[in-house]
Amino acid sequence: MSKTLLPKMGAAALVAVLAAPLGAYAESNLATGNGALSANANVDFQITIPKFLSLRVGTVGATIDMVSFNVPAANVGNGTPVAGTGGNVGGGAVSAAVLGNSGNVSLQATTGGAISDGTDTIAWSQITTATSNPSLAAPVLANGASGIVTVNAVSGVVNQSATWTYSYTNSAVVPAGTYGGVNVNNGRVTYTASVP
Amino acid sequence: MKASSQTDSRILLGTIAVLLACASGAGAYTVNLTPKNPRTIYLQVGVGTFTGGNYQQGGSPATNPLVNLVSVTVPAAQVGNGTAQTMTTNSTASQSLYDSFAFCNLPNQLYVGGFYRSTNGSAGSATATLVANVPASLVSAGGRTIPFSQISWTSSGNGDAGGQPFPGGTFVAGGTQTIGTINRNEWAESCHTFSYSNAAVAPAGTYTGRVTYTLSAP
Repeated sequence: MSKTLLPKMGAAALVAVLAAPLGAYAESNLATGNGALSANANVDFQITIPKFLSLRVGTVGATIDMVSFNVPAANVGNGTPVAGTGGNVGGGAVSAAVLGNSGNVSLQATTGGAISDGTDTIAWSQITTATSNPSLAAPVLANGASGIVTVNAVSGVVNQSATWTYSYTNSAVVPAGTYGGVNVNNGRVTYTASVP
Repeated sequence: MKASSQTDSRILLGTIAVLLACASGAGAYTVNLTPKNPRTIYLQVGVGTFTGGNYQQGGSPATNPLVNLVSVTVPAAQVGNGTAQTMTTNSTASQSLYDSFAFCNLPNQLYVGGFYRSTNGSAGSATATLVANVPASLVSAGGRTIPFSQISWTSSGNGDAGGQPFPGGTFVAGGTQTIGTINRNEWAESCHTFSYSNAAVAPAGTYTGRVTYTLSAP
């Protein structure tokens, strides 16, 4: 509304204009007069996104996958890597995925110590992990806690997936036996994702 | 009349004169007004103020400075999963200030309405246009953004059927868009239910932004 129109208004209109000056922002507003009229009202919008982090290694849900290596007798300790079997992908491979929305994610793998058959042991360093996605590298397995792998966020969000494929290096002759198992003999690896 | 699909209770609230003045058709709530001085536009988004009763009772529109909030907190397990999240408002405006009819359902609906009244049947422009001036994004304290285009709305009103004077839509990020029009000597109102599309994983944070609605009659 133009001030030049004020002389054309009645007293009631003048009071209204004074109560709602041009350019005021409100949820209800009015304008009066014979010329161009304009009234504004604001609305504030708010979206709250909570912090979350999810990690998948293997089958979705509570299932814990098994990856096995069977070394042919003729190849024991000959340095030829042995591919695994099992895993949700098969061939000793598992699906891995990290999704988070609060910056870089730290990944760590933890074992209870060297994998054992009850008497003898094989170091976890003898089991390697290859990734299909360089942006989601797997922690290098160790007897105990591994080093930290950082998954970098893009604009605050991490959304990476990969296939992790395990191999046994078979670099040393070890005593015959079955090492590890279903949560026995240090046969389980626990992966942990964390954000600050 | 356009209010023909209103509930009986609302029709009973109206005066005979108003009923006769209403044009037939749509079913959304628009009501013809008797021309009188001064030529006036009134816009209400969320809560509003009338003094001396509602419009039918002879009340007068007034400025209400309270800006309402439309908000949503996305459940952590659903962030970015593509399931739209209905937003709610802190507005307390459930009743129309035209006739005090319980028009919008709280807390999901935001009242959007107003009138354009002229001194006679032909003075001034034929319509008043309601536009929304929309920022590009909602912004968090850390400077992260969510485009305003991720917010849409549906339009309805208790007792209404058919098209709304201010129909549903999606915000145009960083633009000015038309929300609807009000004919000369008409009251028009809708209730908007907003939703966040939740189509992408957004960084954690609280994102805010302000939309300015402007009703203008050249």
